[in-house]
Amino acid sequence: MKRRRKKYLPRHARSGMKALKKLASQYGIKNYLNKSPSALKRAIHRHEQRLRGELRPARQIVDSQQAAITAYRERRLRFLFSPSRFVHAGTHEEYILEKDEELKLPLIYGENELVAMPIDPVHFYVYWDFNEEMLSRVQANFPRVPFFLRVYDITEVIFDGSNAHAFWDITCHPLAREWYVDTPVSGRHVCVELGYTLNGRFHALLRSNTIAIPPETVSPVLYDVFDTFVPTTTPMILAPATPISEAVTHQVGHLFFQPYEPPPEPMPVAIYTPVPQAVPQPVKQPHPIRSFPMWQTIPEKEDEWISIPEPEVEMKPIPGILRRFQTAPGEFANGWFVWQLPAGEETVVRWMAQLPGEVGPFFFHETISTPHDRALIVSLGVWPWQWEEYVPLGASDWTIRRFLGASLFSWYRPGASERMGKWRRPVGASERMLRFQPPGGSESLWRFQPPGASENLSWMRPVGASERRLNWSARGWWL
Amino acid sequence: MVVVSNHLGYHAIVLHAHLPYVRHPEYDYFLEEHWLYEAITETYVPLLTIFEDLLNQGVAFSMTMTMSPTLISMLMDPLLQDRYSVYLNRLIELSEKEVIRTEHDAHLAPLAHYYERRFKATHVLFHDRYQRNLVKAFKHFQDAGVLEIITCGATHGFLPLMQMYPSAVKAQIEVAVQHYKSVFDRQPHGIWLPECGYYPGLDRFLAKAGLEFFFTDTHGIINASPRPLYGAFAPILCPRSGVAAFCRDRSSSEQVWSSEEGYPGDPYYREYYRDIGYDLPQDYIQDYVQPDGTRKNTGIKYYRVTGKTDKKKPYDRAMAQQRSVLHADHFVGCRIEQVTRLAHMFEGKKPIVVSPYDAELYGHWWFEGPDWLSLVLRKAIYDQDTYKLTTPYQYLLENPENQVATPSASSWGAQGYNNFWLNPTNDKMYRHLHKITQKMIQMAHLFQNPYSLQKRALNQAGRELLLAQSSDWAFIIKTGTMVEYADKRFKTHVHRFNQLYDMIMASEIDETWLKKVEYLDNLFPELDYRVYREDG
Repeated sequence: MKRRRKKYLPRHARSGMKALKKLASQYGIKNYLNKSPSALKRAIHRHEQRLRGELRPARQIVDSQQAAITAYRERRLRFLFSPSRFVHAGTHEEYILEKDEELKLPLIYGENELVAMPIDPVHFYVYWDFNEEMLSRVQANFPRVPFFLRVYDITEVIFDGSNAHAFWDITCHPLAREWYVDTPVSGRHVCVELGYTLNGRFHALLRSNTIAIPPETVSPVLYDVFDTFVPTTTPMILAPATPISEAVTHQVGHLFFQPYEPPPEPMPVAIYTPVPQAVPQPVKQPHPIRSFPMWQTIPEKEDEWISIPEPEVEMKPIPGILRRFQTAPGEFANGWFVWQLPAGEETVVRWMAQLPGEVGPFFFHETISTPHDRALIVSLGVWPWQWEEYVPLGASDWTIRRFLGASLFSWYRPGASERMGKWRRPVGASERMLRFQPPGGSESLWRFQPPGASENLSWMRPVGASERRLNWSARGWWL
Repeated sequence: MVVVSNHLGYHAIVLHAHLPYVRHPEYDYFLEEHWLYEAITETYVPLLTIFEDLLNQGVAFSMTMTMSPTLISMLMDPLLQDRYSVYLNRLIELSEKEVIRTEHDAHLAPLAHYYERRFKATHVLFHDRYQRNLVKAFKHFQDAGVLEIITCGATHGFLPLMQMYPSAVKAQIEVAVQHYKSVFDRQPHGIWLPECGYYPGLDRFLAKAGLEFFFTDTHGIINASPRPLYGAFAPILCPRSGVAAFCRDRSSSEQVWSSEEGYPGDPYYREYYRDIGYDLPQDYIQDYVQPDGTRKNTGIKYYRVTGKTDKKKPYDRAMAQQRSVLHADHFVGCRIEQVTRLAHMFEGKKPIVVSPYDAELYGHWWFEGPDWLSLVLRKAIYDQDTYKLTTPYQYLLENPENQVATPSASSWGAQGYNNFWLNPTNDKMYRHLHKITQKMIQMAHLFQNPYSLQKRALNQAGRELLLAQSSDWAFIIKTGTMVEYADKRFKTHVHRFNQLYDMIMASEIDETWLKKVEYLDNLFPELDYRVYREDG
């Protein structure tokens, strides 16, 4: 195309992208911000031609096509604006567009309800609704106080609020009114309560129906009971009401007109009480990812543990629910920490003993307590550093899978891979906080290694370890 | 036929025929009603033809078929039968035009003649032989003892997602059984649970309704508790109710269902997606597709699958029939091998291989399906004696000793559980569905002695609830095929129910409006709202 002079544009728009863009936006040209100056000019020119009515069509419409186009347009108009829908043949499009019924379903029903529906062995769906009084209670507390969906495992119990086998909390937004929940148990009966935690106590607002989560795999119960199938007798359909002849009825009526008898109760099936076999104990296998450093192998039997002399550093009593296990003389001592778990049971974690004693209080972010297994997600801080770790207390498939999942797929949760297994400064740590060190902290805490590491205490480092940095990430130097 | 008892096992073929209740008397033409017309032309009439051929030739086959109450109601409805006649006549007219159009084309001319003959034969069969009542034709085969017809849920409602309302589950089952009894004059022996959706505890409703067996998907029995000794190849009895559960065999299903490895993907079979409704120019085909010009399937297709390519070759009927013979032979051979292997593993117990399929697969999606099925039945009876064709009820009568176990909650939808019917596309429906279920149960208990108008309104409310509970709406919304239609249907039924509820509770029933709604939604005319009561 021959380059035209700029004089075809009005003076105010002859120069500059700014003026062109303003004009293009006024004219309603699409995508005007991304067009080049020449494209904008072309579009503006074309629009002005269109306004003046001078625009020529881009393609030639052939006559036969024109006839078809006109015919289609006519038919379409007749279809859309025909007076009665019984005159012409309608399609479902008209049905969808018809407005003679007000089909608005209410958004909110305004009654207290919490309904859970199972989806598959790992998910279920919950929806809820509040009435005005409950809604005002929720709005008074939220978001000051966190709201949870507390999921209870209530297989074979009549739930009264406190006798569940296990429970876990899922943070939710109470005004969302529906939630997709992941469930760690399968093959169990489960119930949900919606409530908030205040001062350490959980206040339940709504309780849901009980649902059965389908089992995920084959049943571990091997108990063969056999029974015989007994076909139920098919009742005869009632004969016609008028008899054939009265004489026949009188004599042999009972042969022709059998009264309707409801089918008998099904034969009693052998009383079957499932006798759960002991769940097979998992075989102890070396952990595939969480492999302890080579110089710190956990021996299989207790008598392989060497007795480690008492360190000179005084072990301060750790606040919270941690207490030190007192052993009798002659037995292995030093460093067995016992946790008082919320369920009242105690368990022992060996590897924690390898840590030095100057670490700060342990924060238990999440306690998973199920009939199958237990795990802790522990966050421990050596100010201003922090370490988050999964601690599988059992060694079953489920715990290891959770652990593996947490470590392998931590990239999926924002920030998790940064958090996991690394020393990092807590969020609140700022330069100002450095001036106010917490009690127990000292300058030595700024260093990468925990206190006591460079003091050459024999109990801290085994023979043969060099001066290089300790790898607390437990992932190996190559990862 | 002489009972040969040296067979090692059994094979049961189950065809599941269901269509959602689409009947719009207020429109002359409705696109979704064509699902029924296409199913009749391509599936039900061909199936009846092959059954009749087998029976006339003395082949005593044994097969099970599920007919859902909505399908039966649509097949027996005079309005839909009239509309089907109109549809078939237009199809015959189109086939005649096609014969004229393709008379110079050597590939397509014999096919056009074939379709013309086929549609005219369908017309004769539908009007003269079956007297427009296909259900009676199926009943004839059931009375002859070769076909066992079992029932399905009343409106194919997905029962695991209704488990918190036992009255609703009971109503779906009892209405289905009552409807079956009124049509077939006998008690159904078993039920095909909608989408094979089972949850533990459902069997007690089946037992109360007098049903004796049902079907689940494979993992429903594999994951049963305690672990079944015979896996997926023998039924289990549910504890306390004694209802038997059969499960689907995956290998025989995949040989037919799988899009990559299944028989329907063979290059010589007819290609479903090359219909003349999409290929021919608008001015020729406009009277046979939708009135507004949008194209749709007509049923006349000239090309075969050919492979994964856009350039399809013409369909050759003779080649396709040869291929179906080969495939039938292969299928029967696979079943022989499977049953032999299983019988040797199960010492003493005879295995049963259950192969359930959608009836629409045979004829509609897979054109040579009915021919293949007829060949499979013949080969199974005459060419081998390893396994015996049977129905599940017959198997239970011959092998009554079965293991007691609770099947696991499952369905045959994608991913095996309830994901397809409860996911972010269709989860908003259940709030309303549960609300109207609660209201219906409340009304059923509240009104002990209603007067006639109230009773009509209560029964109509029950009908609207049943129609809203249909799992097809959630299914269609998830697959995304006709979303606005399913959405509108669901909202319509919920809205009509709410109107009826308000009218009944306020005791101001508008009879004209009630008559209109009864005219529009006339499913189950003998429905009694008292099925929703919890005691009985």
